[in-house]
Amino acid sequence: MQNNSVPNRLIDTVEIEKLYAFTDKHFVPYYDLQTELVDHLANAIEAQWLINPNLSFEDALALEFKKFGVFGFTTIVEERQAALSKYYWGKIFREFATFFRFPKIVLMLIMTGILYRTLLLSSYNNYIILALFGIMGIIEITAGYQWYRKIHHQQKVTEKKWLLHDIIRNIYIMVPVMLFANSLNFLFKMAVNGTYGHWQIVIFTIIMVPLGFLEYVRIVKMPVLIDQEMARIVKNHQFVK
Amino acid sequence: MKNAQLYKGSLTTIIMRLLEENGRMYGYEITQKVKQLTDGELNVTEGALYPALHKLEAEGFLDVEMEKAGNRLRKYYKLTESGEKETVNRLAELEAFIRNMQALVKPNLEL
Repeated sequence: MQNNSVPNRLIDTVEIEKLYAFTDKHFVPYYDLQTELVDHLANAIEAQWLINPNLSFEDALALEFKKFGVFGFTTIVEERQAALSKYYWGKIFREFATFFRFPKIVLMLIMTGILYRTLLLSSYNNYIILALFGIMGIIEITAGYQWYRKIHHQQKVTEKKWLLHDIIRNIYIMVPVMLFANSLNFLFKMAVNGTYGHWQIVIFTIIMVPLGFLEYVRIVKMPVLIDQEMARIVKNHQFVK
Repeated sequence: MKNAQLYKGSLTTIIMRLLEENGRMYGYEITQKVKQLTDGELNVTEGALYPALHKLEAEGFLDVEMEKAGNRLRKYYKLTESGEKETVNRLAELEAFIRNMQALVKPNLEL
């Protein structure tokens, strides 16, 4: 039975810090996700104390953590990453899809026409293709490096890790590195293969132009949205005392 | 909860229904509300609740608000406009499911 003369035991600031350290130790390095879990654990521990005020903080925490199952917080982290990744890639592809509709498709067709004509008229079109890949590579490296610096800076300023940084790293560093590493052999063959014929040019143009527009969406348009989201997340998690 | 498998597909609908009724809620509050409404029969596990909430948020059905609660920060979820529409659809689907199950399990109730 609860004694009304004794106030309910509440989690104090030191214990809040302990909970943050606990989530970090259990493979949740991201502050945004940690914050949600810390509040959950704190509520649950306070509820335990309502029944048994003499229970130690550590014992109450162990009891509550058990409820998360054998995988602890891992499933929550993984599923959150998957949901966010899906959200951002979804945004990229939805924006990209607008280039296949009027009026943007006109621009796409004009670019396809120009690239096709240029390659057809050139006797060294393999080098043009290679140069286009090279330009794309340089843009990718620049964008990846800029994101790397920005993430590093934000982590330093906020002194925290954020889940969105992981997603950005995936979109702007991991995926391009993987794709380019896998196509190095193909690019080499292309360079030594000599001039390309009509059908090869058609296929290349059909692939290259949409790829360029996808790059445009990913590297030029998306960062604006990501910056806004990041600023909102950091602002939301500022604790004003 | 006796058989979690039976409730699994309905978790997001349960969450959305609760948010529709209560405006905005935080994770722990949802687990307690479900327990209270079902007299302790249904226990939404943390490992299932948060992924479901995060998925709904990423799909644009939920919006979040961070607020100071004593000495900590609390994350509240509420339905977005599209979330409200989706709740109506999902509830209709769930009700149809319940009707069909009833017809299959206890066909004589129809008489």
